[in-house]
Parts: sequence; C-alpha cells; structure tokens
Amino acid sequence: METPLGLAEEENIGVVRLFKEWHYVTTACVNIYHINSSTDMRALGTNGMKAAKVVGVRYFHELWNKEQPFTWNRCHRAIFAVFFGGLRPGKNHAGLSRTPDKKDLVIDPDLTKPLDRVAGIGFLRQDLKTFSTAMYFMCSDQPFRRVYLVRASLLNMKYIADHITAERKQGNIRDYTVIMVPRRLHVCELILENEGVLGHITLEEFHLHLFPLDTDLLSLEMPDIFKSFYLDGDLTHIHTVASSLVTLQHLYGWIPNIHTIGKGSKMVYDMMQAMQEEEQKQEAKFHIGYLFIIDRDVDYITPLCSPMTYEALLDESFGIQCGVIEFSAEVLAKPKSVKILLSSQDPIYVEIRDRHFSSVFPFLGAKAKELKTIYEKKNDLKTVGDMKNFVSQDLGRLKEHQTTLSYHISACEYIMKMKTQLDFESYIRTEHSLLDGTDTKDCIAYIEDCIYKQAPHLTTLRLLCLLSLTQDGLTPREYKSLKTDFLHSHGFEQLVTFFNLKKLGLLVEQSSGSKVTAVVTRRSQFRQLAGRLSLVPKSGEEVNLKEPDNLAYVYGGAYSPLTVRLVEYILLHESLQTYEDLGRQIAGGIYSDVKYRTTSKDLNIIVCTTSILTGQSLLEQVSEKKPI
Amino acid sequence: MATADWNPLGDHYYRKCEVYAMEWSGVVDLAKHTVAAAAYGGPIALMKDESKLNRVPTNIKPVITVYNAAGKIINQIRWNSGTIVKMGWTIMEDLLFVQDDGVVLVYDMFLTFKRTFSMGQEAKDVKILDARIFTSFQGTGVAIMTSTFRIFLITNSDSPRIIRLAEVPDLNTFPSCWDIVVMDRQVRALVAKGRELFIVDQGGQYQKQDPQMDREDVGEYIDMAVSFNNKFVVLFTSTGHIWMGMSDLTTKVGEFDTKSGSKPQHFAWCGNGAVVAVWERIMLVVGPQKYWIKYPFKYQDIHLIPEVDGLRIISNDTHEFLQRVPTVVEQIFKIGSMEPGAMLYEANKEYQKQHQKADEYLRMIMEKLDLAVNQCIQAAGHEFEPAKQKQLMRAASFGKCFLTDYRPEAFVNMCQMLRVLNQVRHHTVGIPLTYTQLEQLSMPVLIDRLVLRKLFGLAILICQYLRVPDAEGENRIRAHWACYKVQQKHMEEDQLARVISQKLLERPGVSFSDIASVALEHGRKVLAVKLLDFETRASEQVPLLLKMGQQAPALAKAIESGDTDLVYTVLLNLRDNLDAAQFYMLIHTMPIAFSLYLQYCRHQNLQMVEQLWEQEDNPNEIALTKIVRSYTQDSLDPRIKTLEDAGNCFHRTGNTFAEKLTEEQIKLMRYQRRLEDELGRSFADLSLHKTMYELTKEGSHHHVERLRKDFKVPDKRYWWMRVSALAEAGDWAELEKFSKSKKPPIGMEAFVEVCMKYYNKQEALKYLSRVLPEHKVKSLVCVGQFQEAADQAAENKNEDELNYVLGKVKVADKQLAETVRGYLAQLNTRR
Repeated sequence: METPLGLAEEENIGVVRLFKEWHYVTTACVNIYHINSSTDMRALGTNGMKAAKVVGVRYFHELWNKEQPFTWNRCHRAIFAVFFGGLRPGKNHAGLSRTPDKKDLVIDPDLTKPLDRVAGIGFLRQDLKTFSTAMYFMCSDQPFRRVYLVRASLLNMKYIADHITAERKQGNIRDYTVIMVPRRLHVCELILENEGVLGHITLEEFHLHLFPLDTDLLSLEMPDIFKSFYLDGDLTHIHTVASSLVTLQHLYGWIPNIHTIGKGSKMVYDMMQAMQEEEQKQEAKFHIGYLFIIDRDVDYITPLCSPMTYEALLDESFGIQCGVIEFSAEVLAKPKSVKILLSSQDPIYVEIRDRHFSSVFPFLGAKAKELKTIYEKKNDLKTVGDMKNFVSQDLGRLKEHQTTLSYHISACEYIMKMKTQLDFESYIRTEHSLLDGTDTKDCIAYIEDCIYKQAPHLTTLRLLCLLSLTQDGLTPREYKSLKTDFLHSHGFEQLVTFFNLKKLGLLVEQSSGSKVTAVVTRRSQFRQLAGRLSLVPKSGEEVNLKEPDNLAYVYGGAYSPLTVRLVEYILLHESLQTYEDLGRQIAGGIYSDVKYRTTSKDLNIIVCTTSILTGQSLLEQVSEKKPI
Repeated sequence: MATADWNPLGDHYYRKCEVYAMEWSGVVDLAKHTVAAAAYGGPIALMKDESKLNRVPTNIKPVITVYNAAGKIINQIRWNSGTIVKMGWTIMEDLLFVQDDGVVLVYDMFLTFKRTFSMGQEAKDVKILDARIFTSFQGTGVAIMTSTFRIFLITNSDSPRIIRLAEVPDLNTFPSCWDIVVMDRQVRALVAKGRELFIVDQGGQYQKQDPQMDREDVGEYIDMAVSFNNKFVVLFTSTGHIWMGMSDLTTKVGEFDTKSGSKPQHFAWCGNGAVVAVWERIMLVVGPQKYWIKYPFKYQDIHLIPEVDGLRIISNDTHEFLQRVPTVVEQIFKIGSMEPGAMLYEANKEYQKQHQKADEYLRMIMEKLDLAVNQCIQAAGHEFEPAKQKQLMRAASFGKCFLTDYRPEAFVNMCQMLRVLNQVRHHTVGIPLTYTQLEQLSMPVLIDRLVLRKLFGLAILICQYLRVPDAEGENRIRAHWACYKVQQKHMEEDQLARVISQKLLERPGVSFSDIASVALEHGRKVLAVKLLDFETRASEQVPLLLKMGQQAPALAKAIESGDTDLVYTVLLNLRDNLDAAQFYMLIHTMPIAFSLYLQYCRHQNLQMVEQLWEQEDNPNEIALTKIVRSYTQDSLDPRIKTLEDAGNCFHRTGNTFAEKLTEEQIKLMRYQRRLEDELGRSFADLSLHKTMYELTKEGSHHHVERLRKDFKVPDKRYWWMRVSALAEAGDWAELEKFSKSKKPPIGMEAFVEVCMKYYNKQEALKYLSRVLPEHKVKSLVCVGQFQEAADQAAENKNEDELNYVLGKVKVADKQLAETVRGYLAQLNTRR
C-alpha cells in the first residue's frame, strides 16, 4: 500500500507511531526575521548568545517588576528572541533566523505546553505560513532544513535518529538541526553517532530552564525528574536543577542563606557551589534572602493527602497544565470545550484559588450578585456621557468577569457532583483517621472495600501509601493480604509497582522481627514529626475553614503540610543546633549555609519546582503500566 | 644629512637604507639558491638549487635552510620528498612547498613537518609546471599551472578546496608570464600568451584584455607583477616597454620605455607608487609619470620582497629597504621645508645649542605648534635609526612644553611602539618591521609571531610593558611555552611537570589539558598524566584521560564532577574499549555510574538490563526486569517461560511471597488459555478479578467456582465481584438467588448499592428490607428514601448518621431538613 511516506507499510508503523506526538511547523524565515529586527532585538543578529542572555535577563526582570506589570505579549516576544537568537551565530546555517530558506520546526511535545504558556505558540502559528499538528509532516519534500527542538533525552534521540534514517532511506536528503533543551548532552551525541546520523545534524543547545507560570511560581516542567532521581538513581537532573538556580542567582544576585532539606537538595547545593566557583565573585547586592531546597522524599504525605482548596481540587479533577486548564464541553454544558489561563491576572481566581472549597461556592454566589448590581447600574444612567463611560469602561470588564465567573461556577458544580458520586466522604474520613492514627482497623477495612469494589487503582494505592507512611509500614500479614488482593484485582504487573513503592519508601512491610508488643509502644516516624511540628491539630481543636488562621485548613483541618512547617520552623528558630536535632528525623538531614540573616518577617515567597504534581500523578509515574 | 640617501622621483622622494648587514655574509651565495622570503619582515628560506649551477642534473636532494631576516640561521634540512616547483610562505609564517605532482607540504619555520594536502587528481596525473603562492581574502592561496596549461587554485591553505579556473583559449605552450590577482573576494589569473592577455576567473569566464599603449609595436608580454595590495599590475614587454595600470587592466597609470630588450631578472612593485626592475648590475625604479631613478649595484644576485609600504632587497651582504619617503618625514627633512614640524625640529636643534634662534623659530609656528608636535611624533615612527627617532621625539617633547592642553597619548604610544619596534628589529630577533607595517599587522599578531619564533621571554616582556591583560597576554604565552617545553625530550618528566606547574599554576585561563594533550601527542604519557592533575575543569580533563587509557581515574573524576554527561561519556567509551568482565567490575564499585549505565541500557534493550543485574547478582531486580519484559512478548509460551525464570529468581532471594504470586500468575495465564480455547474469546492480560468478573457476566459459573477455589479468593471479594458482575449483566434473577444462598459477608447493603448503581430501584427495594438496621440509613439514602433514613437514624440514636442524612437532604427538601435538625436537637438534649 502506498502511504504518504512512500515507504512500505511495515516500515512505516514505527515511524508513524512516533509522529503522532510531534507538533510540526513549517516556517518561512522572513517572519522569524521580523522578530529579530524588531527594535529591542536588533543586536541579536550579530551577537546572538550574548544578546540572548541580555534579553533573557530583561524578560525575567519584566516578570517580577511589580511597578510595571509585564504583559505576556512583550514577554513572549522576548522569549522567542531568546529562543531564536540564542542559537549560536557564526555558523550561518545553524540558527533559525539566519538562513532565508524555509524550514520545518519540530517541537518536542513535552515543550509545547510550557513554550505555549510563556511564548504563545499561537503567535508562532499566526506569524508563520503553516502550522499543523498533522502526523505526516514528511509530506513536504522540498529540501527544507528541519529543526528539532527537543529535551535532551536518550529516547528523543532515538526517535530523531529513526526519522532521519527513514527519510534518508527514502532518498529525501536535507539538513537537520537538533536543538537540545536545556543543554547539549554528550551522551545524546553518542546515540546519534551510534545510529549513524550525527553527520547530517548540526547540534545546538538552548538554555531554557525555568518557565515562569505565575508571578510567584517558576517550574522546570520536567515531571520525570522525580522518577529518574528517586527511583532510578539517575543524577542527570541534579545539574539541571543546580544550573537553573544559578541562573536565578545571576538575575537576582546571590542568595545569602541557603537551607537544604534532604539528600538530593544537598547535592544540588554542592553542585551550585562548584558552578559558582568557576565564576567571578558575586556582588554584595541581593534580592532573594533565603533559599530552601527541599527533596520530595522528605514529605510524601502532603501530595498523597487530598487538598481541599479550590485550585488543588481543580488540578485533581481536571488537571492544570502549565497554568492552563481545559474545561470539557460536558462540564460547561456548552458545545465546545474551553481553555482558560489560571493566573494571578484573573481577579476572581485570585480571590478563590486558596479558599477552602466549602467557602468558594458562597463567594461565587455573592460575586454573581455583585456583578448583577453593577450591571443594573445601567438603569440609573442619566446622561449620554454616563452611558458612554459605562459602555467604554465597565461593560467590557463586566462581560469578562461574567464569563470567568460562569466557568468557575460550572467547575464547582462539576467537582461537587464528582465527589458525591465517588463516596468522597468516607474516603476523606479514612484519610483523616490515618493522619490521626486512630481506627486503623476501620481504615484497612475501607481500603479492602476499595479493592473489592474495584475503585481506581491509584486511589487505592494512595490510601495504602498513606497507611504505610503514617504507620511506618504495614504489618507483614496486612501487607501480604492487601497486596494479594490488589494484584488479583488490578493485574500482576502491579507487582513491579509495589517494588517501586518499596524502593521509594512509600509502601513498605514492617520487618517481621518487630512483634505486636513493639508496635504498641513505638511511635512511628511520622507521628514523632507530627508532634514536634504540630502537623496534625489536636483533637477537639476546630479549624476555621472559612476564615482560616491555621494552615491545616488546606487539608480540611486535618493536616498541615510538612514542608511548609519545616520552612516555618527554620525561619523561626535561630540556632543551628535545633535544625540538626530536627534533621536527624528527616531522611537526608538538613544542611544550612547561613551568611546573612534578615530579621524581617514580611516574606515574599517564590516557588521554584521541577514540576507540579498531585498524589495521582506522583503514583502514576512510578506505577507499572502494561505496554499497549 | 638626513636627505643624503633620498632620490627624487617626480614629486616624491625615494630612499634606500640598509637594515641589516647579513650574518650569512661570506657563507651564502644567493646565486646558487632559490629564495623565498615572507612579508612583514618574515624569515627567509633558501633552497640550494643544483640547476642554477648549470651542472648535469643529479639526484641529490636540495638542502633547505631557513634564516631570519638578518641572515641568522634558524634551521636546515635535506629535502627528502619529490621535486619542488615552488616554495613560499603563508601569512601564518608556515613554509609551503609545491611539488610537481601537485602535493603541497606544509612546514613551520623550524622546518618541522606539519601537514600535507594535494591540489587534485588532475594535477597529480599530468604534473605541474609552475605555481604561485599568494595572499587571498581567506589566508594564503596556492595556484598551479599544469602541464596541460590549466590553472587550479585554493584560496586557503588551512582548508584546501580546489577551484578550477577557466581555460585560456588555444593555450598550448607555457604562457610567457602569468600571475594571480585577488579582487573583491574573487581570485583571478592573469595569463599572457604572446601578445594577448587574458583574465580567467573561477566562474568559468575568460576575458581578453588589450591594455591601451602609446605605441603599437610593443612586442609580447614577457613579465608582470602585481602590487602588494592587488590593486595595480605592471607588464613588461619584449621591447622593454613597461605598462602600469589598475589590476583590471582597463585603467592605465603610466608607461615607460626602458629600451631594454632583455627580461629583467627581478620585477616587482615598491609599495604602490613605483616599479622596480633589476638587471645584472643595475636597478631601475620607475614612477608613473615616466620619472626614474637608477641605482648601480655591486652585487650580482639579489632578491626582492614587496612589502605594503616598500620593497626589501636582500643580497649576499646586506638587507636593504627601499621606500617612498613618508610624507611627514619629507615635510620635516626636505631641504628648505617651512612646515611647522621642520621648524620645530630646527628650533629644538638650536635649543640644544642654547641659541636664541630657537625662540625665533618657535614664534613662527606658535599657532600650529600642535601640528608640529604631531608631525615630529609621526616622523619618529618612520625612522629606523634610534638616534634619529630620539631627535624627533625630543623635538616633539620640546614643542609639547609650550602647549597647555596637549593630550600626551600620541607621544606615549609612539614611545612604546618605537621601543617595541627597536626590540624586534634587533638582529637576533630579526623582524625589520616599519611603523606602517606594524599598524597593518597589529600588536597581537606581532606578539604571536614572537611566540612562533619561540621568543617567549621577549613576548612576555612586551606584554608586560604594554600592559596587555594577562588572559590574552602573559598567560597565553606561558601556555605556549609549556607546550613547547613538553616537547623537549631531554628533560625528566618529574622536573618538567614541576617547572611547568610552577610557572602556570594560579594563572587563570591556562588550560593544563591542552598542554597535556600536546605532551601526549609527543608520546609523553607519564608527563601528560602529571600535567592533567593540575587541570581543574573535569570536562577538559576526562576526555584526555580516556584518550590516554586511564579509564578508572577518568571515571572517578567524572563522577566527582557531578556532571552525569561526563560520566556517560566515560562509560560508553569504557564499554567499547574494555572487555565485559572488566567493565562490570569497574562499574560495580561505583553506584552512580552503575545506575546511569542502567538507565542507558533500559532505553536500549531490557535484556541488557537483565545481564547487568546478573553481573550485580541481584535476583530481585532480574526478576522485576523479566516481569516487565514478559509483557513485551507476544505469545504466551515465552511469556510463561520468562515469568518462570522470574519466579526462580524470587526463589533465590527467599522471597517466597513474590514467588507464590508469580506462580499464581502463571497458573492464571494457563487457565486463561484454556478458557480461550473453550469459550473462543481472549482473556489475556486480564487480572484474576476481571477474569472472574467477565466469566460471571457470561454465566460460566463453574469456571468462576474453579478459579475461586484454585486461587483461594476471600469470601468478601468473591461476593463483591459476583454481585457487581451480575448487576452489570442485568441478571437480576441470579442475583436474587445468590442473595439467598447464604448470609452475605458483605451485607445486604451491597446489593442495594449495586442495584442503584445500575438504576434499578425496584430490585434495590427487594433487598432493602433485609438490610440490618445499623447499616440501613445509608441504603435508604441510596434509594432516595430520606424520610425513612432520617427516622431510622433517629431510632439508631446515631448522631453521625443524622448528620450524614442532613448533608444529603439540605438543598432538596427544607422541611425534612428541619425534621432532621429536630432529631439532632432531641438527641443532644437527651444527653
């Protein structure tokens, strides 16, 4: 059968499967050039790398400059300039912007979302001749240069090598450029070399580290770091994290006080020191006073519990990707699904994102009423001037608010519906008793029920992990019976999942040596920490969910996140002695490098992360899936 | 008298001054040598040419000797390759030898062989007759003329790319003369064929040119020369006519009739303003306006080297420089000059004599004193003799005193430049640069040339004197020095390493790995290892260690650096170069390396991962990998086999539980195959629960029963499975029968729940009455009987249940909610 590739059918299969995921753009260079020649970026053509750095700095500054709020528009132009200007000049054919002929741009699906978020691929789409996500992009048989923009991973390199080999076999000769994000890895070169395609490729690197997702949130958007570091012991990304933090220090001056909590954090810190040693001495000015680097494995409990704030529930129910959420048509009861951007720019969202879910609905109701009264002002308008004012100023804003409001209301309703269906109350009750450490028997019974009733396996696993974490492992008898039940219900491949979880310390079996007597007297690690840092409110202590004064409101009054308490503890306690004491209770310990203490308690917190995860996504990464 | 050696040529003056008395005087006879000298005061190569001695051709290979510009010998070798057609220098001061088979050999000035390249197959096949070495826009080019009279050329001897020029029509004898002209990034050849002139270019085009002459019968073109900047060309005809013009041959600059019938021995441009032709004992300098100067010569053999601002003349005894007298010098020293500079110079002279005339002169030029000072400074730059330089600088300094706001930079710079120039002109160094040439060449290049001549000490002193930043000046030179030093075989490695580290440690920007790699190239591995120890950047250190076969240290350093990419580099290199056992031994001891390699294997091939774990003797991991792999296998038998292996591995670890689970899985898979044969549909990859579920839905109850017994399914799970499956299948009769079979361990409420799940309220109600009171509330809510649920809860006196009902009711029914609140209040008061 003749396929668009002109290859025999069997040959095609491997190729086609991977094409499905690649987004593909054919570009005409004139347009890209247009970005370069825009006023700010004039320098880029001549002195790409240096200028890209400058623009990069400016772009980050814009982001945080509170006086003069940045616009995404300006920002995305800047990042595209960084993107295209950052390619090393000199080799004429290398950079996208440098040759006047057309090119194909292939973007790693892992990068499209974040790039879209910060730069707007839509912008690329509108400025370029064609942009399609079609799977057969090989149809363009003109000898365009092809540019791959990919994360530097072994798997991606294999894909690219397969592409090129297939194309060359077909007699389609062209030049290729592979741009690796966030840096060029020698091992990737080796793979390309082993596959025999390195000769046809120009390699470049693009230092794209942290994506700004909100004014106080930066993310590397690399979800696989968790698995590769904690499960596979792959240290590759220590470098990625360290260099992203070093870049941050380049932009904001050195950070005088650094605390690391956990094993990986210490490694990141050491590497940061090594990186900075090579550079010149930093100046004395700084904008960021404290840096806390925290390992995820210090605190597994927090992501595994069910958070109850609006934003968290949105993420758990719909999945927020790079700050963008997609409401399906079903949720909105509208013909089309809608994507909206969740950020601090949205005045309604700012008000509700951190509220306990129970108080979101009333707020939205009140807001709707408020909007209505403003809207009714139109009846009181006397003069034409007033009318004009109203139409030009209020109306547009009102309309906008109204639409977002309606989205949030629909989302709330949907979440409520889902939660009642899934017998959410029993689930939460079980979770809370696990945190309290009471009624363990009932909890186990509930988990068994979950398995018997064929609840989604990740939900069950979540409870199992919580059980193990709070109890310092399951007793051998419970472990065996629950594991057997689980495997019988969800398939044998989950055996590997259990081993993974054991390796991570998420779900372990108590050593059979400790008999019943030991269990009674001994308090689990979690319980000790909980006591020390008051993670779990004392029984009888009511947590006000509407107007919270206790951090625990996030988890419906049952639990305060460990990481947050740790940071609080370190900030409040002056002596290093106490940290060390506390550090003994934490895997990997605490390391502090304090150079300059600030006394101000008025803190502005910026969160940098490798990726944003939920309990669901955490477990999904480490659970074994059957190959399709 | 300053103007003693000046000769007028039209409006200008030309001067010829001796630069050096040659050290080779009395030893070397230029008549017996072919000469090639580099521009910018570069070294001179002599090839003892047997053919010049008019002897019978012998097979004796020529001797090549390189001297500096002052005739001091640098090195000498006996040639041992093919026949040399042409010898010449590149702009990097490498010596090129073009052989008659088109092979070009590159030597440095110490006559160390560097590399070789060829001018193409055609040249090799037909041999070449002549060659030109020229300066192109990219570096140094080589052009050859083959025996078939084709011209091939390269424009950059560092990356030779052969260009074939257009053919000259009907050229079947060797052209009477030819040369290369570089214009606007285009290289063209100028070929004279008797009376015809052709310009041939790279694009395959040729142009016939007919330069306009005053006289008709000028004869054939027998010689030509291209000026240093490629802008001008001069032609010499068989009747002794000289034609000067722009290099496109369309614009004439001048013409001159020498009335000489014989071709000059040497023919070259002096700068851009005059042409020099040399016959046996006469040298003629011809300017554009038919002016001329005649110099008698005492020597028979000389050699001419065109420079940007003049012409160097080498003879057996002297090294002279012929140039147009620079304008400023002319302004100051010309007899009767009234230029401010000249007056200032005179004033200073009088001042030295303490004569009042000094004041007179000064007054005359008071308004133009700054100009006068500048002229003196400039003129000093163009003078060769330090005494004259001093006089001029003194004059400038004297004039400076009378200026209030004169910026001293020009003066200071000139002092510095002169000091450097005088140093490099010294005959031991032998670089007779003029100020103009230095400006063209630039100071960094001059320093590089000193380094090239291994005059490290002088180069460092100059850098220090000129305050060149360490990174590009001193440190770089020291690194070069070290690279040179490691080649000295007579020194002990320990001592060398110590000496080098002493001079280079604490100097940022010095790459020890570069030095080490030079040492390695010269076969000094021990030294290279020692030097590498000083390298701080792992990314530089590791690849070299690998190259030297120092695998274990390379791996250790890579891991220490924390850069996993480096670790990978080492690992993959090791895998290819070590045998498997050694390799596993090595990574066994380094867990970081091990897990990285594991990652790599995982992407390549799962079997490799298994092997790796086998090497580690970790049966647990082997088993897991096998399990993962089993899912990628297509047919059942190999899958079972793989799982059996996995089970054995678990057995080895003593993990009986996992072993049992694996065995169960195999049992299940076998049973699923039986089912497939029997029922004709696939159960592959379903879990036990799902299999039973599917079977129940189909009504194959005896299989379910069998599985239940075989796998010892707990009652509760069995019941839940069966109840859900029956409900989904809509087999309500069977469900009812099942509910009555014995007391359900999951309670009747489960029946209600599943019925409602499939929206069968009627069936649900059947079981409702049989639900025990303590579980009834939930079931009642489930079927939507809130009132009854509230009553039941109140009866149970259970606050939680009441709250639960209240939570469910709230929005729908206000009255009922009130009732429930009433119950709650009652319950509370009763307490």
